[in-house]
Amino acid sequence: MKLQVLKYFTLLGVLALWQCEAKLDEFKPENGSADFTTFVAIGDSYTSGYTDGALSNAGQKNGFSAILAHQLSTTENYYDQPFIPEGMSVGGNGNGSYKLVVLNKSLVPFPTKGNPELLSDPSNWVNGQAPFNNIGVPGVKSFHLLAPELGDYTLGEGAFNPFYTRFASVPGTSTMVSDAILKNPTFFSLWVGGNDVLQYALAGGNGVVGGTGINDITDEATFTYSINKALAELTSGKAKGVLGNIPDVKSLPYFNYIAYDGLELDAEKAAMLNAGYEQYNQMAEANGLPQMIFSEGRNAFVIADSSYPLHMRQIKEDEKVLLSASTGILGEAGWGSKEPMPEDQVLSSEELAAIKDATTRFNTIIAGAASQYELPVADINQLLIEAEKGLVIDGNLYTTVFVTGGIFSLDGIHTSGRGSAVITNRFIEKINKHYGATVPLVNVNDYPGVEFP
Amino acid sequence: MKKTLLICFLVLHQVALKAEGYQVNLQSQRQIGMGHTGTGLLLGASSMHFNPGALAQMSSKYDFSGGANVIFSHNTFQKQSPSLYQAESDNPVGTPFYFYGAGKVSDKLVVGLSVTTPYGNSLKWGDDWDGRYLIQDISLKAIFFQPTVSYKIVDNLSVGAGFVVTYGDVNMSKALPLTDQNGNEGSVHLSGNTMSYGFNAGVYYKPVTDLSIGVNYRSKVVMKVEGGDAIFNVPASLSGNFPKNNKFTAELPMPANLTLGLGWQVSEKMLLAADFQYVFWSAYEDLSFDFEQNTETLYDSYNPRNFENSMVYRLGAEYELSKSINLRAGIYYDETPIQEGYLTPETPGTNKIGMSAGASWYVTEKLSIDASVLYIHGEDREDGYQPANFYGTYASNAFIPGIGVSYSF
Repeated sequence: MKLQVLKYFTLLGVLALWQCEAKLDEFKPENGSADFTTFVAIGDSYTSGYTDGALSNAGQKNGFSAILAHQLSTTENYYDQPFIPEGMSVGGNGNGSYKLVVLNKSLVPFPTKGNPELLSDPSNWVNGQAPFNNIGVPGVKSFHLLAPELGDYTLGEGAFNPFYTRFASVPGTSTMVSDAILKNPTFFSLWVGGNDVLQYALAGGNGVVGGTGINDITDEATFTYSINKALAELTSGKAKGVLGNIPDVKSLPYFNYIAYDGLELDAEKAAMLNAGYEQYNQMAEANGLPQMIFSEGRNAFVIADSSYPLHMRQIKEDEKVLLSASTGILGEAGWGSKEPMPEDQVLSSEELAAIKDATTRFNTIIAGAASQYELPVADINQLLIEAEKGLVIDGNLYTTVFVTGGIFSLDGIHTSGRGSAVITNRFIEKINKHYGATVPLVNVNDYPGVEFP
Repeated sequence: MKKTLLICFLVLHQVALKAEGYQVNLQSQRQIGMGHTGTGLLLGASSMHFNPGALAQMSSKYDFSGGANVIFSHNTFQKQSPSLYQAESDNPVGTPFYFYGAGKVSDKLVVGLSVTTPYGNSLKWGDDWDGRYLIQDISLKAIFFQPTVSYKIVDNLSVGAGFVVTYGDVNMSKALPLTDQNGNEGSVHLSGNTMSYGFNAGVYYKPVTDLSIGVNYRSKVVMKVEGGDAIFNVPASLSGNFPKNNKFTAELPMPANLTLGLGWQVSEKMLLAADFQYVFWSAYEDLSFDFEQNTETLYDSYNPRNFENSMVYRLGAEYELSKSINLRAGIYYDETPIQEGYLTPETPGTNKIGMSAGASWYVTEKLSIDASVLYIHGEDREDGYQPANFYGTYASNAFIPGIGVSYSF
């Protein structure tokens, strides 16, 4: 009898243990009506993987397009990138990736020593391995997509984009779109247009609204033509794809880090400034213009304004100071207090209105082109508006705040790995909805964010 | 007392999550075998937990029983679709235990002491898993000491009550979204212990020979940790915002239970039992940590839980196979107290079905060896914790063998 009881227990035990793991069905991704066999990504710095003020190997691996490619397919060598060698980086000014350092007891993003030779020395270029799947080129505007000049180094410094030259299939002849088509893509992402507004904003509005200069807001006709022509060529081989629209630069930390009233004064300094601007205030009074009065605490910065009768004034609440002004504010120059903030460090309310207007118009053009070519658009503009209020993702709160917000990298313009993952998920949601696919979303918190010393 | 606490610490290694919420219903092998019924039954010394009112009906002069269980539990998480992400917890093997000792003072009065572990939770999801900002691992241990008196008013009616002294100990870790320049993420480790009090009272009534009824009320015991240790690991440049040797205060309720139990002696050999256990889980409104030192970035944390009262339905049977062998079987259905949108990986609750079997071998008339096995299957639950926006499907199960001895004379 004892034995039987024992047997009974053993049997029950084995049975129970056997199926002890709490199993759940594994998720199986589906393509829907899209074909992800060959994917190319065309776009600007966001597509290239530019982050922390530079293009780096780590940034390329954790950039928006690389993350998206990884979700579309697990095939090996699915996504060829013009990789920067491991441990190296190069930014637009020859700088390296920014790193947070402790300076005077506060955390400051500081550029590391970069590898400008990756751009300047043709022996470091990777044209021989072209074409690549990642055709993201930092700094490009809509009309560069189809411009062979973009990679033409014979034009001399400033007239070409070395980030493209280094991986163009034939520098000076090939275009971003023609290189993309060389891959015979079945699926593409096209996310450009950001720089068509952003460059104007980065120059503090010192450009033309409706031009094709580096600091201009692109004219509408050129923008429309470029987007449509690029799409016509990209879809000529029956490829399907996804578009991204452009965020209002107002969402970026670069334009929000320094508050308009970030001039903090003690009573003594306020008195000094009041004395210093006595003459200004007399003139202002004579002209019926507001005076500049400083007091202890927070004060609006003093800015240069050539269109203002007195050529300087205090900044208004709805105007913005650029992140690049930080050093000038803190340093000897005394920008914004004893010296007016230079005009190229400020976006006035008129300039901000022009930016907002252009962003809306360009996004309407992108939406129109998308519907013509039956492509979905990831609304990144909307995403960043939501992110300004805060996005909680798996227990982590993401905001657009500089350094601590988590979405943006240390340059205040480009996303961190985690920010890129947030954006990628928006693209995936659009792809899934439009094509009836079930491309898996990524775990945002698995990607690198801002690192603290 | 210090020594007792130390022993508790050593013995009470890990008690894994076994019933819904963080209740652990593993208080006697005989009862586990019968689906953990027993409020309406005569159980000798173990009535102290199930219904102190029935203790006075003890047939022998002295009764002792003790035992332990081994919990192998598994939790699996599949992230909300579309996602390829799955995680499996690596829960430590739990070893809850119980001890009961009672003696007759007079024909009508019985006194005793019970030591039980009716609440606990132990989950280890890992340091790097996707829900790490909610929880990495948690261990909650509670040990209940209950001196008890029971009095027989008339032959078929008795009452009893015990005073409950609880020693509680909690440990938990969470990741913090602050990464250093080597890619290591920050974390916070919270730990503390406390003593708290409650009571357990019951009535036992036998209207006719073959039928018995019991009602038991076990009060809420609030574990309040004051001056617990909050240890933060963060990148050096941020350490100023996370003071070293910080302390916290937090409260966790172990809810009250009201149970109605029935016993029916169907034949000389067959006993049936049913229990209806109402658990006052609504006491668990939030889990809040009040830090002694707050800074710009470290503020008190409020985490709503909003548990709802729930029911457990239990059925059990015991069959006397021979003079020396009793066989048992039971089943129960345990409703989750966790409402939609409040499902956390810390207590990933779901409706559960428990199936049990057990046996006692009477080595002598006075001494028996009692064993049981319990298999708990949690229904898959697709839900999440809204405040953290963390959603997915949770699956859970547990396999729990146990052994004990009873001695009466």
